Amino acid sequence: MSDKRRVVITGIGLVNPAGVGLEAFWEKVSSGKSAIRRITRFDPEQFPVQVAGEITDFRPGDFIPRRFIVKTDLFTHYALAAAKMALQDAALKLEQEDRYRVGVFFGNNAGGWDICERGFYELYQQGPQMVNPWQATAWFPAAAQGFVTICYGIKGYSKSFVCDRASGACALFFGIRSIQQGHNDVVLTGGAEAPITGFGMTCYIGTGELAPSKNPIDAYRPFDKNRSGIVLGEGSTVLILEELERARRRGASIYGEVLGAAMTTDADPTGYAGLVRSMRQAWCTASVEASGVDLILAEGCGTQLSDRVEAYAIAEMFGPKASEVRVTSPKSIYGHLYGASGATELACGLLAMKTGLLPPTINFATPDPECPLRVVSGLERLAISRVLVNSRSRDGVNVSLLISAL
Amino acid sequence: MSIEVIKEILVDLGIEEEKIYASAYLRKDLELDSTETVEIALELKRRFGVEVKLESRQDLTVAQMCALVDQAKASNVP
Repeated sequence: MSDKRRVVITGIGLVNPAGVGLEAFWEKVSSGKSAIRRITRFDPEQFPVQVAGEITDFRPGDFIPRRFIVKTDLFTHYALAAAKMALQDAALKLEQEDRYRVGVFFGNNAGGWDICERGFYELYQQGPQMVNPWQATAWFPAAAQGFVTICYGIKGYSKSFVCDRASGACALFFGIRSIQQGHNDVVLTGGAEAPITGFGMTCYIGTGELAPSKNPIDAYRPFDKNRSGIVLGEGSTVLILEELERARRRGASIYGEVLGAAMTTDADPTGYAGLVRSMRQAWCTASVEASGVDLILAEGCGTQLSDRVEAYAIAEMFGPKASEVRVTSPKSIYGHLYGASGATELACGLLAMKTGLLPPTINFATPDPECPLRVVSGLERLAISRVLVNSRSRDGVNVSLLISAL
Repeated sequence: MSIEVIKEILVDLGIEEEKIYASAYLRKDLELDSTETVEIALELKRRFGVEVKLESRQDLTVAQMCALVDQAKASNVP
């Protein structure tokens, strides 16, 4: 092991299309039940994409004071709720902590489209003097970090990350580093996303990367030969990271340890040397045998190109053993969460280690010869203790995180 | 104007009802921030079509705000 301060995960909070709260989420994910549905938030009839991982059972008032609800967008509601559940899960009372040693590292890609649509309406229908006063502070991607910080009086080193599909994983990477390098002792990390509005969907459709699907049943098919793109999801995942010794001193229940974390850039959607390097660096910092990984939670975003490139990278990384390593993309169940991606898959890895249930890749029907991976496509029970999480942005920012049971 | 209307607007913003009384100061007692003050002014414009300046440096009580709304309504009459 390196002489870095060791980082463990002691709390998980989830607001996800598959369920609000840890138990509801894992019940659905571990049993492979899809949470992708026809969009109800707005009328999708005129849109080429009509399905998403939409949350229908979230009541912000269950988690957040009304004063915060009024002045924030939905993605911040999700983040505040997930942060509260994560802190409860970790049995951590921040008012008893040195809050100059507590940080918040969140990802968000799209900002607050819900409040923007309201702001546009006010501006063009009623005039500039009638635009709500929260437009400026609620829409922007750092709002989730900002309001969680305000809500808990957190004063430590904190950052927000906007990096396409790797937004959440970038937040994790730098949050982990802030503890390793001694800036923080406790970090709330993960992120939030709420793109399911008419305008938000329009912008994502413009990327050309969404699955043009009207049928929620098998819209999202990562690694399948006939995959047709990303299905968007929404929600928030917040993880509590702590320095190992202090977590032990307070008798925290520990889900697992972050053994290694690395970040690289390919600067080219078709390149994967950087992705191989980020996986290798995650191992290097941990000095564990490469053959020792039990499960890879892949980026597996479901585009033809990205899944193929990731499969090439895994093949190069693991050599002849690549076809033996189990690979999965539970995004197929709840959609791609961008800002909350990375943390959500890391949570899946921790829960798989805890319960021995592997989160499957649903809708995997036809293997792709270009992606010769051992995809976990059915329900599988297996005692596992080491998981690799990959995240990759459209243009090739890669994050790899290696986690282990203690 | 009775303070009930103001109370309704403040409760909508998430201010606890029992904290709202005639002599309560908007900033000192109710701890309103600048965006919440702007929202009250917008809501008064939406409801009564009146322009009330609440962003001045001086902290106002709920009763003083009611009086300002009454003044503005009176000067609105053609």
